[in-house]
Amino acid sequence: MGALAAQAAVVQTAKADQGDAVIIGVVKDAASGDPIAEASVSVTSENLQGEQAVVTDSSGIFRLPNLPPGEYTIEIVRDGYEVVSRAGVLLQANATVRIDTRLRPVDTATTRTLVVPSPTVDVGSTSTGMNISTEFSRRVPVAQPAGKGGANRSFEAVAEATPGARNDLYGTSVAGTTSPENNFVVDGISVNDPAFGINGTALSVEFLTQVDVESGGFMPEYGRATGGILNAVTKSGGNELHGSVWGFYTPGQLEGRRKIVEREGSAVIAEPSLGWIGDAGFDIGGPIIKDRLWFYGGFQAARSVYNLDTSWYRTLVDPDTAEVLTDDVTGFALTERIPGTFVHRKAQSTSIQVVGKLTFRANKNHSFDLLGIYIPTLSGGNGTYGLDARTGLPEVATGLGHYESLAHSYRDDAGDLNFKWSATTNDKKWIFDTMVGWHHQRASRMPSDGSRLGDTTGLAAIPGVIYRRNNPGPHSILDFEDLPSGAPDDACAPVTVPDPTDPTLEIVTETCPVTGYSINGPGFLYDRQLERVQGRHMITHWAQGAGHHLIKGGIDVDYMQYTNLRGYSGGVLYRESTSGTTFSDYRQQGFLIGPDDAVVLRSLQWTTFSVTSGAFLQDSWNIMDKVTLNAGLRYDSQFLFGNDKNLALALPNQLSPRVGLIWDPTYEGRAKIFGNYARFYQSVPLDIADRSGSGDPGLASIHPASACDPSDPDQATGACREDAARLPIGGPADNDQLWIAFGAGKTPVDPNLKPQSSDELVFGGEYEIFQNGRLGMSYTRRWLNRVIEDMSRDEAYTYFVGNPGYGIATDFPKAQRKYDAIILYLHKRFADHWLLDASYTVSWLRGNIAGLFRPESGQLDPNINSDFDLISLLDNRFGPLPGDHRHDIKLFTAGEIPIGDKDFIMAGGAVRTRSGGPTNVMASHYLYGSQESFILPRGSGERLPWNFSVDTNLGYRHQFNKDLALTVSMDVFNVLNLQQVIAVDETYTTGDVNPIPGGTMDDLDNLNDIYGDPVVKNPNFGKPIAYQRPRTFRFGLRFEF
Amino acid sequence: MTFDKNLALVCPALLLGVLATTGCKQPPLNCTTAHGYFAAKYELESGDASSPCGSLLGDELGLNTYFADAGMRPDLDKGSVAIRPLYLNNYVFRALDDGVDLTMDDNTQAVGDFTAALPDSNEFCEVPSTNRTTLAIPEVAAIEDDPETPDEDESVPAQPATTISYEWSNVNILVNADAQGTQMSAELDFEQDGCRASYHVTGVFPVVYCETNEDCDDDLNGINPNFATECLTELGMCVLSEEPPSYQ
Repeated sequence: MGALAAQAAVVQTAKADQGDAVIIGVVKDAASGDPIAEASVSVTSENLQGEQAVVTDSSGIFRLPNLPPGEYTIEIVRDGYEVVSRAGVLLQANATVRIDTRLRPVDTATTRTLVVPSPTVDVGSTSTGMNISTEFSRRVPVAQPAGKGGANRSFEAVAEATPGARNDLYGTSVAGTTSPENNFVVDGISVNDPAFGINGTALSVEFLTQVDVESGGFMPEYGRATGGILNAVTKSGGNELHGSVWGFYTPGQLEGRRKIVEREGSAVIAEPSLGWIGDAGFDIGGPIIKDRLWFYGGFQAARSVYNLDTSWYRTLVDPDTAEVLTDDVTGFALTERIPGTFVHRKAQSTSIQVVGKLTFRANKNHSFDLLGIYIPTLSGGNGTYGLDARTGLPEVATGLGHYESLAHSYRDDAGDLNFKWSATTNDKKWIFDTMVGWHHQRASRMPSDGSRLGDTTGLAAIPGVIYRRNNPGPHSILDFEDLPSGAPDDACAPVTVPDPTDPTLEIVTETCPVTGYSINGPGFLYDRQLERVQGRHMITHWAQGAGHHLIKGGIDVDYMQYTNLRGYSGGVLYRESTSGTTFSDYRQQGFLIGPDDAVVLRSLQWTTFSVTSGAFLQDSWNIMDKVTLNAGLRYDSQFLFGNDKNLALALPNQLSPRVGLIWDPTYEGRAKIFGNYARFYQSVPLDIADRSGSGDPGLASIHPASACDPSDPDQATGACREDAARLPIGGPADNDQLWIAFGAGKTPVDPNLKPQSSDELVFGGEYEIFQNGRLGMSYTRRWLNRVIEDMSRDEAYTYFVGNPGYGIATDFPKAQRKYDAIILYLHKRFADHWLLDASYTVSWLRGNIAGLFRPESGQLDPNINSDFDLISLLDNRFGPLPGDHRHDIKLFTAGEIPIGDKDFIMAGGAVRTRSGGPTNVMASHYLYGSQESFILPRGSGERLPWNFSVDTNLGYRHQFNKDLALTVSMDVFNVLNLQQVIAVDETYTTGDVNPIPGGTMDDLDNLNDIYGDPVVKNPNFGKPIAYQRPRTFRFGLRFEF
Repeated sequence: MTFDKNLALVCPALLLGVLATTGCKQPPLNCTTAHGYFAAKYELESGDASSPCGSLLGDELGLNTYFADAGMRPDLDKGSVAIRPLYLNNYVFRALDDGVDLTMDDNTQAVGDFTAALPDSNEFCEVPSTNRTTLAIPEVAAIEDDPETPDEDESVPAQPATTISYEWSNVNILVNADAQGTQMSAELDFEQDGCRASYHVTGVFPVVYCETNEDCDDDLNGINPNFATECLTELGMCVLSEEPPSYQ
């Protein structure tokens, strides 16, 4: 075997284009060591239409771009030399590999075939992250069935395997950021939800060849994301017809025993459990015209069903004193189940994915791609509950209300249409890429009976009512429900005893109390339509000059639109006061045109839009062919417009510089040392334009219970809405006596507002320590610059949008989020029947804002969350953030054992160990309610314990012939059924307590609320409220042809 | 305060041709007032300072802004302001509590329209005039002390009949991103039972009761911390130290 390559000049390196790979290398004379110019280098592959070829330049260097990922054969030909052919070169999406060759001069033409391992180090980039291949996602158990994207096995769920990545409430986040900050890309088109930033297209990994996750260090051609880039690359057809049919099933009966969370008893207790999760589908791809026109298509149906079983429980009450009996240890009320009250309900969701793709190569210099995706999802309705598409969880966790009031029908559609055109010159030194794409989403939440917002019949026309009386005592469940026929007649009879202090009075204690119950109408409803049209043009030029330059420049335009129709069933949601004597219009849309002159709206429809444009220029300069310098600049500007078509937010002049250095000490493509500095700007989703930029006009009035009983739908829409049923609530100088109006205007913007951005520094090195395997280490530091948030300087009277710490908001602390991580990783791709991916991340994440959503409350309102709202709440907010897990170890491995030459036993496993996150000590704020006041500095509570989980995959494959195979598999997630604590109750007290700056746990001993009274400690403080998901099995069958 | 600044880079909007008029600046806030009670200081301009109607020191004024109906949404370009004085309405509410038949009609507050949709170059929105409100409140009998509760004195003196008129003009509201209609000035034409006086009024939102200037310096009292206010001890409320814009 000839030498692979001896010392050679370092070939210029730079990041490949989105989705495609690049081969670079130098060709030299084996005898003299001189570079060979004019050598023809050509590649072929099953994934490539036709053949691609270039010639080496005067320094013997060649560059072959635009290669779809796959396995390649490379052939090098030059008169007077042997022909060298090398097969088995594996190319990953967005990667650049280097192949150097030495040709022996010969007199007669001979061919030498090399079989050597494919290089594994991506010498073209400074980016950190992971490339998840089909092999990996099939053999390693990664996509958990439950949770967001689980049933579909979406690309975002799989991305969690990346070192330093973790699941958060709304998806997968990297590098200490939050999931809405990522840029989710499918074949170059951005599929973020235009209003909230989270992933909008949950495309299944079945249709993908790779999921490429970049967690940092990427070049200016990728912009507008302060998180990572999650890049899904779809499959294409080929010259031969191939496809597969699959089915997966996760049965709820085999779910491990769930650890039950102990909490204060309630008259209705819901026990959620998994029903089943499954998906089935097929895909097929092949030629229409060989080497010219290929097609690919796929279909998948996925379904998730959860059981939400409810029973009634009665509180145990002492029959002599009418006191509630409580547990000595927990302080919770003692309860017992009432027989005959069991109700079985389901929460379910069905999703269909349809994918179609055409790849056309007009000639060797022009290729076209057309991709279409459609993913409709239906959930809830017909006696079932729905799943929240943003989190993947059932819409309710309790049964405290009428089904009609708690349940909704959801529809969540996503559609994508993408057109790409790549044109090159003959010598491949100029490449012109054009992309036009349209991303569409539809999200609606409607009543469970099929009626629609605005209808005058059906549940859409019935106002909902929330009951919450607690003074003098709560309601009995019998106030809202009939006792089921199977239950004993006296099951919920109250206990009544004479009052010992006053014989004329009685003490009555309810045995089936409900402190919160909602009835009748389904409340908040919406129908949202989201569009995003994007276009991009990029020019790449490869040139010689003191080495080699890879120059890229491009422009792109992005138009987003958000039409949000929302309202409340029956036009209003009523809520009882805590004394039970009045009902308020808790939620109602409308505005006042004069004192007490109300215009009540059935619904509101706002259409907001945003225009973003960007341009970039970058050079990857291989200096004297020794080391590569990456330098580039990106410019973005975004303008958001409100419903009245006026400018709502101007975010121009976003300049992002990027500088990086890559040095390959082996000069052979087998190692690299790199460093990179980058600035990233955030693309602001349209939620802020819809709410702050257009207004949220609301009206409220109070109705005395004597004149208005909203539980009667006729009164709720009739008598209750007359002024005679309104309580005068205004003081003498209040302009309105009957009405309270709020939110009609816009939230003003600080004239000095600057866009939100984050900076990053990355250093690292990689080395190919054995065939197909590389070892690497990297250090990342990320920090936030300015943040856009809404704030109030006058304790919630008026709000404005600004940068905390700057401009109008100089008396607010600056927004901070600092992330430091050291990652040690080992990656061996699937070769020789096995693969291995291991990483150990040590990280520190601290700051005063988590990102674009609030983990403490789940609020997803990017850039207008409650993190900086009030000055009185700002103390103690800096500390370790919820995503701060000091140690994170991930180990993935898979292998197969051949039995004979037709059968294989497959095994794979994932081991995850992670140290626990921080917990807080919180209280309520008199205006903002719970989870808002940090009594002690963030992170003062005890750390959560370490989490540990083991997942395994076992399979058996029978290969009928080269193309036909049948695989049976079983994934077991959380094999050991470890049920460690993942969240605890952080509410120290429900009383109103302001932060104690720099306080410690000792300060809790004599704590008083803001009124000077001693606080009542929450008996559940520090107790677990959530555990790891129990063990689940997923069975699969796959037939490939 | 104005926030003009030089843009170091060319505003791309002009290049795009998207925003020919607005440019790269953040949008201004539409004309509005804060919603709630303003602490108003009265300075006598004309009238007899020794007369009952000429010796008012100030008042709490309830203000709110209303928008015209643009069909399923408020038209933020067409706002109007209502001013409701506590002085007048104390009489009204006393009468109502006593069961006097007094319809709560429009004369309890005055309403006027903004002249423009957006603040002028000095960041003020103007309501040139409001309607003149005149309310006649009948006599309210005195309440006797309840002899059964010797420890408490429930007696309230009689409230004689009175007729009170208000007319506001030159109402100027300070509107910018930091002061969203929280400072105001106006001229008041006040008449009570034939006695007439006119005042220059300045007001700040919200009402903060005080005994010393320190109470008004507190950054967390609800008034924008940058406003220059002082405690008018005779009135017991924090008021603006200067004409709007009144800043430290």
